[in-house]
Amino acid sequence: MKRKLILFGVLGILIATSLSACGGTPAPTGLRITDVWARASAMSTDAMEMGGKNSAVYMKINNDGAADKLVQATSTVAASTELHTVEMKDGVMQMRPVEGGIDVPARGAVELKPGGLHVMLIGLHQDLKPGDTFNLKLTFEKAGVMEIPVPVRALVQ
Amino acid sequence: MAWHSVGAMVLWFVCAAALGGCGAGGGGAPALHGGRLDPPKAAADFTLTDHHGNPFTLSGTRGKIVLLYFGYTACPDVCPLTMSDMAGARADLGADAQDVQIIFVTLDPERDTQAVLEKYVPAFDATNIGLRGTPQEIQTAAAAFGVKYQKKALQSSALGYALDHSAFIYVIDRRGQLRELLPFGTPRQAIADDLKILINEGTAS
Ligand SMILES: [Cu+2]
Repeated sequence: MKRKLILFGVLGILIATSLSACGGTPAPTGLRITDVWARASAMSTDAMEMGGKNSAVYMKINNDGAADKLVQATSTVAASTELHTVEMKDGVMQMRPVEGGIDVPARGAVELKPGGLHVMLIGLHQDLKPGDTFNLKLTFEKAGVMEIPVPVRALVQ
Repeated sequence: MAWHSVGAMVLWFVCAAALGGCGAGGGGAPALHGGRLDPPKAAADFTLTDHHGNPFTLSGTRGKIVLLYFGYTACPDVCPLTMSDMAGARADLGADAQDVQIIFVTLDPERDTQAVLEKYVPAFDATNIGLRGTPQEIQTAAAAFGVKYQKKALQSSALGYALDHSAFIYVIDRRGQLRELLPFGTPRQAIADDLKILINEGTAS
């Protein structure tokens, strides 16, 4: 009995070691976030006004596993962090909150990019300056919570 | 409300865009990328208030090539992307940049006060001009260019409301002729190329 437990324990360690050796960041879920960036804030936050104190985060969510769904994003840099999309309808750009989350297809990827899906930062508490990095928490339906660093890019490159 | 009476105008622009798309490059000269207006048409004129609080009349920019865009500063995606590409294209022109004026007209005068425009608009390019006015003044200016826009309440968003809007860049030459409409997503390089064509035309007609 005791010997069996030890055997399992050793096996477990071996498996864990071999997994972490090939993975880079731990990916028990099969999700990998790449191409992450946020646009610098156009206005400094010492302006009292609301307008312009918003920004957006973009990324590519790669999935080696089963289908999942990004259901929430949170950050401490803004009063609200929401999942949005932009669609062209009758020649008009319409931005809307995403209802029900962003689907991440099985063995595929979903891209959040300008003119489409984005994480919107509403009411920034701090200036986002080029070169800064802040943390974003992503909650997936199956994979749970992932925290990623988000680098800030200049308004004009 | 803002949708009315622009139907014919929009249709005309769409036709112009379609024509511009297929009639390109006859004599081997480089052609503009967007929906070209052929023959060009005098750009509508309007007077609004600039981000310093002074009256600003569009026709006062004669002699410069104008990139005109209508948007709102709370927009985190489409508007800053377009502002960034226009500013980037201008920056790519070197000394010729002085011949180009970028103008941003807010469709959201309620949130986009003069103080907001004063911070937002020059953040992309220090020479940018931001314009606002009463809702009626803005509606008139927008309608003159066939801009469609509408305030849309977003119940489930902290943003409160968004502005649904057409997102063309209106390109006006030195003589005040509206030459083309660049659709959303036109790359910075294409904008810069078109500006070079119009700069090289000089001031002669
Ligand atoms: Cu948004």
